Amino acid sequence: MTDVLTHVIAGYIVGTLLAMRYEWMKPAHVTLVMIGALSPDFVKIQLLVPDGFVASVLGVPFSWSALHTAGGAVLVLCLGTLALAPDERKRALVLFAIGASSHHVLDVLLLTPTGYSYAVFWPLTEYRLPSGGLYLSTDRWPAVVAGLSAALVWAIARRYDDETPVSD
Amino acid sequence: MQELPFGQYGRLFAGVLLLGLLGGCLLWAGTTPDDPLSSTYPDEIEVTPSPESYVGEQVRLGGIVVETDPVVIATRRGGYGRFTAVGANDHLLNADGPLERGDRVTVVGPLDDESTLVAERVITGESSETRSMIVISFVGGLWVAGRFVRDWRFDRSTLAFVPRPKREPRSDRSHGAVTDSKRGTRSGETVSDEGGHRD
Repeated sequence: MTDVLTHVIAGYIVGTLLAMRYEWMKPAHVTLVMIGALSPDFVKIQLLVPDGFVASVLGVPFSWSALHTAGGAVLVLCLGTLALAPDERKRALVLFAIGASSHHVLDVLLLTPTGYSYAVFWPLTEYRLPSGGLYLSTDRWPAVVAGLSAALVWAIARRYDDETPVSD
Repeated sequence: MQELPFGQYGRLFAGVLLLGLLGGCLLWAGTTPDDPLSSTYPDEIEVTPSPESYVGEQVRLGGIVVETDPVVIATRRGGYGRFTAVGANDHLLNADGPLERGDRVTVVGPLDDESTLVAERVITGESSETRSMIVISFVGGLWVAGRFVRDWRFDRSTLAFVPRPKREPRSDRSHGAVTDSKRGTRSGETVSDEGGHRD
């Protein structure tokens, strides 16, 4: 998996670009895209609480991996949406979903030894997409490229905000 | 989806239902023979104790290079669990090679016999979670958490997060007069609803 920071930066870029297109999107909504982009990495909780530990406590097989799939994302993001005010929920769900999709696109592009990615559409299907083979999770350059792109988008968005008259 | 039917009870019910489904998903993932995040090929943990049962099968072995000519990898600490990776240097995907002793590699290919693997795809330098990566990831998490706290607040009356009133970007001040005059035509409660955030 690409590191969390790269995913969050990607979410920022996508969110900020959308905010330039859609006037109702405020910084708070860009944050929602970023949360969506981060959400599949809730699976990293397994570093603190390993699958085996939970399985031994519960006495049944258990895997956090579901969090890093489409099925897990839908459930987690619906839960997140419920925590927000009713009139924000519809938009929030869409923004969360856009963020989470960006996460999975970046992770499917990773270089894997087998040439195949993970079961991103689980539990609908266990089919593994061919991996993009673009970078390793330990590569630093994707984070650098993402960071520079984010800086560029931030500058453009600022300029754009300056030039756009406020309209109701 | 402006408001769930049955108000807060509906919301509570939806939350409990979603949590239940999520829990079920995590248990389900635990029973899946091929974990959604791992490859479908048998790995070193399965192959090393009984390689004979995997001969002829496509496997994925991670280990450390212990010999270079030919390349031999050890899948266990202390140099145990040795497999010769035939042609590893020719199928290295992310480095020019050749592999050196001590390199961490993952080799994918068919197991020719109990201790020989025909390398088809080899990646070096991939470690699952390095310390620096955890730190960088933590920074990413903090950034998002910081933005959320800044942009959203918990409204106790509705028990939900609502966007904080929009901060005035410096550039908006020049347009402030226009906006204010527009707002002035609205009812006073609109302004107070939004916290009277315009200056």
